[in-house]
Amino acid sequence: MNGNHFSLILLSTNECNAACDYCFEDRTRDRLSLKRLETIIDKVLDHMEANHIGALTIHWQGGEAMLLPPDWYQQAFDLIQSAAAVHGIRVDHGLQTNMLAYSPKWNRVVAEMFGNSVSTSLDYPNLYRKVRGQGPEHYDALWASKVRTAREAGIDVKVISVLNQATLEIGAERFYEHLVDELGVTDFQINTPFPGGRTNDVKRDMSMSVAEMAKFHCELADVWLERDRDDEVRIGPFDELMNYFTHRHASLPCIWGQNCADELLAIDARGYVAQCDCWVTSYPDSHFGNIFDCDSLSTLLRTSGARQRFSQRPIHLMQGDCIECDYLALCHGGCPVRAHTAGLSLFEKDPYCLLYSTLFRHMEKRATQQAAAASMIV
Amino acid sequence: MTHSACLPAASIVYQVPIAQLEAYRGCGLIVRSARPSVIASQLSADDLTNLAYVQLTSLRSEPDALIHWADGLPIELLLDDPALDFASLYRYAKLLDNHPVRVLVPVTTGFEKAVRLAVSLQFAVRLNIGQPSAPMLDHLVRLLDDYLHRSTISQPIEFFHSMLLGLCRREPVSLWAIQEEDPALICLVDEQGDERPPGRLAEADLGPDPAGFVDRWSRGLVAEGMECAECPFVSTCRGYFKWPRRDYDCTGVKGLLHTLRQAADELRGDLAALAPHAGASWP
Repeated sequence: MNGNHFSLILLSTNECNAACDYCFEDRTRDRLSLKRLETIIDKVLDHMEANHIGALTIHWQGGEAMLLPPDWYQQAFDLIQSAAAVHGIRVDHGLQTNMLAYSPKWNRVVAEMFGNSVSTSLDYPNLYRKVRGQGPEHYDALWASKVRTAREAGIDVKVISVLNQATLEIGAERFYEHLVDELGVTDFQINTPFPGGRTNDVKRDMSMSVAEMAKFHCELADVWLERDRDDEVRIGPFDELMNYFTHRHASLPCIWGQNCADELLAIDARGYVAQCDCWVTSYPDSHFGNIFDCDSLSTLLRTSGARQRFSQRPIHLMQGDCIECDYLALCHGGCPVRAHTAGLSLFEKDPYCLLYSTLFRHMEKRATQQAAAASMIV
Repeated sequence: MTHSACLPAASIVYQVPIAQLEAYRGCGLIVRSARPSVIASQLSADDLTNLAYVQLTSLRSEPDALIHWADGLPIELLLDDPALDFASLYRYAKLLDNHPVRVLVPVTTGFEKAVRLAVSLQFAVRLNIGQPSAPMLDHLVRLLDDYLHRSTISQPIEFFHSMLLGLCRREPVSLWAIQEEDPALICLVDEQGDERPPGRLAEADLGPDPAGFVDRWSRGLVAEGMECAECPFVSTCRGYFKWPRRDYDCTGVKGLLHTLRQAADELRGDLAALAPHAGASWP
């Protein structure tokens, strides 16, 4: 957190209009008031100034972030930009939303505050994303309709897709076809699931073969590399891995960060501060504290025992087999919440280790092949 | 942060403890201390002008005082016990946001883990290699292979890096200089303020002309008909691996140097093949 950039995941509300079976958040009805937002921002900016950090990215999430009206965000935007100007800090904003509450009333603030871009979520096949009392088909249809309207307004819609067993069964080719050819999604990221938050039947039953997931990842990367010869489609994390293995600048996902305790922070609508959105609503024992109860965020972070444990994680992991791994530089033991929700200690590596190493090896091979082919052309 | 990037070639650089800084102000300096906060508080803006880098001699303190201090100034971290201390590098990775940072790793038990982690965190590395034993040489062979071929390693590992570049460009390089152990280039100042030769030579009596030591040493070894007399790498090694034990068997280290020369030849060939087409330049 003492670098030159600060990433803040800010939950403007803990409430959600969807009822997805595998959601890792324990929802509440709390919403952030502008007055409380001002307090949060003042403390965040004070912390940044004290630590000479010059740039802030706020990733707005929920719950469902669009449950607060566009006017609220417009005021929040003005408030934050004014406060940031006083501190000489640059602030960028990103929005993660399920799009279900989207209407054209959002267009202005999406353009001004979020650079006319939003990130949303859709699985294929959709098994778990639902609106209360409805099935996945209803969710898909509603989502598609909202996304179509947003695109017509010129909004760039990115997608996060969580894999499930049905995704593996239909295969990489069909998955790619659906997202790219049928839905017109040209920028998406695939995520691995984890059973975070309160348990339920779906979460108990959602484990998949890691080897099969690895195979799917490699096949999807191949489909992308074969079909997207004009560089029109971006799929995370494949695009950044290709950058990495061809020695270009790469922004790898946070699950592979050196130490997430140094890279990001989440604050929910109640003011609780935690490592990220995966922890902040569901794991009170992992809270670093409450920003409304502290005089300064710097002190809260410095004195938090929970944060100390996160900081110590990579150091502990180096006593295990991660230090022997050829891909230590990319992964650093993976995501703590994925280890925790698999019933492992925070000081154990991510249970998707096999998937990651298989994918890294595959992408390294493909990047080498591409480089060789390019040198032949030269 | 290679020797050539940091150390002015024309004049000697003094490696001083921060307690002796006052006596050496105005000279070319490397300043060392165990405490980041002491470095940040005692070095003035004027001192930075003549500073090649600062060396942190312990990783026990938190590095926060240095993160935003003297942006861009190179820092070297000394890992005393690589097997024990290597994981502490995670705490120091924050320095890389604003500084080139190199880790000085003694080639002793566990060094291979320290180097692996250091380069994974994007630190440069300087191996304090000395006269490596057979088990250490096995690790060095693997490390050199990783350095040359593994795409996850993008930072310099010295002495491999400067040697590879020198061989590739067909420029004269000296291992003593790369390792910052040439008394003609570096003078170590101890805690009491006494001036000594650098690195492994610190306890040695080099006579009235320490600056001429490397030349005398390497000529002597060749004249005595030691292994160096027949060695194809004598012009770059200059007897580095024969100190302090003259009977050290160089077979293993010559293997490393041979691999580096082979890689340099291949690299030069590849660049020559590319140059007419793509305007490739020497690394």
